[in-house]
Amino acid sequence: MADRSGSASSSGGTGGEVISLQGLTKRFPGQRENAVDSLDLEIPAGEIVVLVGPSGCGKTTTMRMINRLIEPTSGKIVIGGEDVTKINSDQLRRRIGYVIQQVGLFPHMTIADNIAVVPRLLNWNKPRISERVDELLELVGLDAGAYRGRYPKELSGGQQQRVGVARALAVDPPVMLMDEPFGAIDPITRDRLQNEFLRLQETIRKTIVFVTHDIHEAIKLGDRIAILDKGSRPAQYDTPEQILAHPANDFVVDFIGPGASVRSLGLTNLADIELDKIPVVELADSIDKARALLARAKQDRAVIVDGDRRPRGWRRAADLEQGMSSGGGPLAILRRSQTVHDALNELLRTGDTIAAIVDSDGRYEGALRLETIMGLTAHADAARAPVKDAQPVAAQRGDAG
Amino acid sequence: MTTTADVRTPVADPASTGVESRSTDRSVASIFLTPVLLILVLAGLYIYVHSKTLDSIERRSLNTPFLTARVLEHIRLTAVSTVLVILIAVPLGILLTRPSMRRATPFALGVVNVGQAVPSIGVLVLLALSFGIGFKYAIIALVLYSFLPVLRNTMAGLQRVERSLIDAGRGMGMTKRLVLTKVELPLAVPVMMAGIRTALIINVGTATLATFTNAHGLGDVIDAGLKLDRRPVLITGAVLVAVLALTIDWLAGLAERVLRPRGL
Ligand SMILES: Nc1ncnc2c1ncn2[C@@H]1O[C@H](COP(=O)(O)OP(=O)(O)OP(=O)(O)O)[C@@H](O)[C@H]1O
Ligand SMILES: [Mg+2]
Repeated sequence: MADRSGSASSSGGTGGEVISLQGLTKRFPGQRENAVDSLDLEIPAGEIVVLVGPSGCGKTTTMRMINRLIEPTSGKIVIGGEDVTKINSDQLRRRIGYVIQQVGLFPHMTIADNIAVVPRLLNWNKPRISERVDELLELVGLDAGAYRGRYPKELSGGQQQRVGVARALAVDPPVMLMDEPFGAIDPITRDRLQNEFLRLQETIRKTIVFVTHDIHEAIKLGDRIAILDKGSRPAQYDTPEQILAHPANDFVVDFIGPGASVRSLGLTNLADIELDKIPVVELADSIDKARALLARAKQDRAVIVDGDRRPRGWRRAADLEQGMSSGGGPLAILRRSQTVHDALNELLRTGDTIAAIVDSDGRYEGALRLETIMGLTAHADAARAPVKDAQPVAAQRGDAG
Repeated sequence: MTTTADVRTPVADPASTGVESRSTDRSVASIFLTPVLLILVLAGLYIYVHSKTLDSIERRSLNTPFLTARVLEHIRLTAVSTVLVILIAVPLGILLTRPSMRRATPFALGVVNVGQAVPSIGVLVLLALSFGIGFKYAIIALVLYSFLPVLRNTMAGLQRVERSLIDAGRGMGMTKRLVLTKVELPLAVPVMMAGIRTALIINVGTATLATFTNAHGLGDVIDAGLKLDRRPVLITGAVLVAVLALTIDWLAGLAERVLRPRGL
């Protein structure tokens, strides 16, 4: 989790290409409204962008226009700087990995043959294909020797899903489209596949367009989330952190649902917030010096650190009489790479109202008070508070469903 | 009623799993049992015929060259008509299941259904008779009569290929033709084969009536037995038709087994 937001912005090599949708529109014959209505969306290279929204809002249609399984009525699709709106669609699709909800493994082909479909279309030679198949199976965590000769029905749902991902990655396409790939899987396996998927993405760094209608999945997987309203109109397009902390409108508030403030704490790194400053007293310091520090800072307590600046305990002015080395309950200590949510947990566990935050070497950096955490959620809640009557949003969602 | 339902209901269905595994066990046994049984029946027939003293009329029919010729004619009628049916009905079935042809599907099926509903075998033979007699007209009659099961099963086999598989294939950049040949047809094979097997059985039986269009076959033997009132001749003809039908069905069953893609 910690380095996830970093991976998006890090300049490290990406295997992906920018996808740019420009005024993309689809109207199905005989329909009065556009299924996708003049959508502009820039999908940065190497990022996972999740399209999320109520049923029928146009997520699948949008995704299938990117590989032109559905031809746009108007608008442009630009991938890696190239306008692909008019090029040969079969050839385009060989450059785009595609994973569908139903997995869609061919039941009459072995796992190896399933993965080899696109390499064969591109006329790779046999040794190269066979080598690639083994490599991909290992990449998605399946033993090549055991699985390459099997048929899909001889695999569990989760294993099939992994083969589906391997198949989409076969020719190392810069772009992957994934339409609810983990939809039909039990929650525990889904969670594991999501984690594996995130780890995989750290190595492959594809540009991934991911469709789901599960906001939790979107928050977990997305570097960015596009929350779509009817006609694929983006209600908000931003990082999960920003969407949770500053939802743009009632529709988004309604869509991300209750508990967003607590969830947003899980996305906020301690490294990203301003810490509380309280007086620091060294073990070696005199009691008088400590008392003077506390008085000057107008704070109720100070943190005691040892010679290596490791936090050892808290001291209130009243406790100072008992000496520097004794007293104090269990100390809530967190590293800066942990989240605010972790800090809240730790405070609840220790029953304290202040936590010490340390760097990766365990040296004291600052404190975090419970009030400060409350302030963070209150701030988020204020931003989230419906400005208008919530009624129209509910009605809108009702229609869409 | 949707066209899909129209197509699906009357199809010989080898698909549903629970029933199928049992019938597979049974067919494993019948693969070995059937030839043994057929040989026993033929041996019985041989002994029966040889235990009789045959008169000159009987001897004209019940001799090896005559019977061999009739059997070969019968096989030829069956084979040619079935191959023709496959050559016409399979491509037509493929064509009618293409998305661009979807609007023509109910119409085409309607026409073929009428063709199946009206004529009994006799009517078809009369039809052929009124146009002419000989091998060609027998074949036309046989093709018309066994057309529907092949067409219907080809369409049903293709239509029940999951939409998501076609999607996956197209989404990976397979052309429409490749999706048809590498995905749809292999997956439709079991259902298509069931239809072809049905057509074979129909043809091998109906070819008996080709004798009335002067196209010979084993119908000649049965006809002679009836007309001349010779019981051994009649029995020989009937038994040979039955044995031939069962042999062909047995071979078709083997083919079904071999051609069924693994992994299904
Ligand atoms: N082939 C089609 N013909 C006509 N209308 C269509 C077609 N495909 C989709 N639509 C319509 O376009 C709209 C968007 O559909 P789409 O499948 O993109 O929704 P979605 O956001 O993926 O929904 P879900 O979450 O249910 O999958 C819907 O109103 C749908 O009825
Ligand atoms: Mg969808």
